[in-house]
Amino acid sequence: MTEKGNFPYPAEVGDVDMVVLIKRQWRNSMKRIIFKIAKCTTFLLGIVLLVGCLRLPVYADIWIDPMETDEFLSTHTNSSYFAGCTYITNGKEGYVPVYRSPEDLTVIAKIENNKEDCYGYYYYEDENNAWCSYDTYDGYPIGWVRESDLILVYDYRAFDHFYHEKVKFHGGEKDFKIDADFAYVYEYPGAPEPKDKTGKSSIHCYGYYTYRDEKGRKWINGEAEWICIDNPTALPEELYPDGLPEMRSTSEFRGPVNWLPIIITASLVAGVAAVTGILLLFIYRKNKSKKNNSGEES
Amino acid sequence: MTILYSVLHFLVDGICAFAMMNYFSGMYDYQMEGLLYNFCAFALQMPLGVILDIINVAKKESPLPSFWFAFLGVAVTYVGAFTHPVILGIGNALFHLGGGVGTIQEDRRKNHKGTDLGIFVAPGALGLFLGTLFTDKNTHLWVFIISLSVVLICFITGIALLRSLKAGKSVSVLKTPEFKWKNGLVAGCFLVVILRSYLGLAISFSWKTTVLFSLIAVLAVVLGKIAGGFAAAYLGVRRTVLFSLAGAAVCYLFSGFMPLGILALFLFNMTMPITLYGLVQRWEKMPGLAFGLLTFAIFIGYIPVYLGLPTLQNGNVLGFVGSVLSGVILIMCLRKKEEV
Repeated sequence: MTEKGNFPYPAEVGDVDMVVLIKRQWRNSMKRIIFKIAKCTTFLLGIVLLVGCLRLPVYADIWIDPMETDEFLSTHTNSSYFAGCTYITNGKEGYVPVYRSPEDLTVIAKIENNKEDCYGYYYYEDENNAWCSYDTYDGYPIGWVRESDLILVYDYRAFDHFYHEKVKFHGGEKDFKIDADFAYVYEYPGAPEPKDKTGKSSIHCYGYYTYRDEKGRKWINGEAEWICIDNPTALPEELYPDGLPEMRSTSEFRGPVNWLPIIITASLVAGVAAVTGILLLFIYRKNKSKKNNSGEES
Repeated sequence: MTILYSVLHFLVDGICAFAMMNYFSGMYDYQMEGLLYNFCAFALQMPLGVILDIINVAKKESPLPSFWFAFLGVAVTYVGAFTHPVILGIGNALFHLGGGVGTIQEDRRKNHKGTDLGIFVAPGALGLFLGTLFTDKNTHLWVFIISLSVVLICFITGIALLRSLKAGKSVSVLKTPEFKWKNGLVAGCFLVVILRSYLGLAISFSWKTTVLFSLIAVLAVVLGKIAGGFAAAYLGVRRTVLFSLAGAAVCYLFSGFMPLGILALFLFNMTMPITLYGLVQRWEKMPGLAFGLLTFAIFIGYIPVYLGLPTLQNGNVLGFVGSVLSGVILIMCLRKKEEV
């Protein structure tokens, strides 16, 4: 500080060193601040990039969920989901009208009857009304069709939906031995005829599905095909002597998104964090009282 | 004791995988039981770790509490293998804590600079993999007989070692840290472990189509964890982090080519013992909490996969970004100079 005021400008030759020092300190402080900002920015950019990669498709066959882009789907996420079932058009007047959405009944297209196609999304309006999305080739919904104007084709996709509650997924690797010379391979359990025959003595699966049918027989699907592991050489007539199992009505498709696993997971995480926090608080208080006691003794 | 705990780690993880794949598969709602098992096995280690720390402080850092925790865990694991995934998970958690803290104590006692940690954590992945392979019902009984025999041998050996320890030098002494970590270490290690856990589950390789290739991939993970501990101790933490994660990032980009995919797994897992050792250095008197916090992070990393976020086929970009991000976070947590 000089006599000429608060700013340390060189009043005399001796003050020059102080000014240089202060300027250097200021430069170093600015460098540190800029470096910290740069590090934080890099870190945040990295997080954004990582999250972006989690959401972006890496390859062309990865599909961006239209739920995020279609207006109707994005506002009805709880009662609509991807089904991907195949239907044949069967409208009352020889064609099936395609509506803009279940809430906007503007007819945007007409599909003639007896046309087989895959309908991506399923919207469950109420007990008597269900809708299927009419999609582009890439799977983006462009309109909606009443399910009552369609006939469901019973295939593996329909099975996935009718019996999804009974089909269990298992992670990890497993070898299933086939106690027979061959095994019939089905498109889905309860199919009217086998798709193929395999001579493999074991099936090696990386993640697989299991299903127990009405008679308690175990089926496995590890390679996109179903095998009745409990009776691999049986034909449908032997598996279902009383007739093939009937598919449930489409109005019994699964309903809203299952929030239970999310709630349970969040509760478990919060619970563990809370219990740990309580234990740490207990340790902290114990240490504090020890210090106070030792302080009093001294 | 480290070798003993490592052998038991291999067995316990193997039994857990064996039980989940054979006895519990299809028996319960697998999705929910899988969540509960993983929660008990990983997340519960955090509060249990604090409890173990309290006991350790009361017993003046004796190796006995860790030893009994570990063997109680082994016993509960075997009971859980025949009863319920939750009991199995609790046994797993108890063992990991006991074995982990016991290994940390021995590492400190012998001043091994964290190399023992890599040796302890590595065999679990191999046990997990082999446990999923035993599906032949005729071998189940032999698996249990042989594994229980090994457990008994380990128990007897452990008692003998502890007795010699008691008779000889004093128990673990807290030494000054070999290197300095910055204040953001806890958050940094936590984030890196979440990333590593998620990437380990989310990334799949197109060449992993046979048991042999899967075994090679698992061995790369195992050896990477061991190598990481030694590399950090002898070459330096900063150097190890830099080269292993930079190498992993490059290898992940070309991981569709099997040798580079294997190398990516090896390099990426090298930082596993480093994060653990770093946190243990930071919380010298609470190794149980340090261990438990990181296993809690593993559970957090598992959640997105459990809830069904899409996993990527051949996740080159994901692996690259994850490696770079892990490297940036860890380097930011390290001071410029490593002070010995």
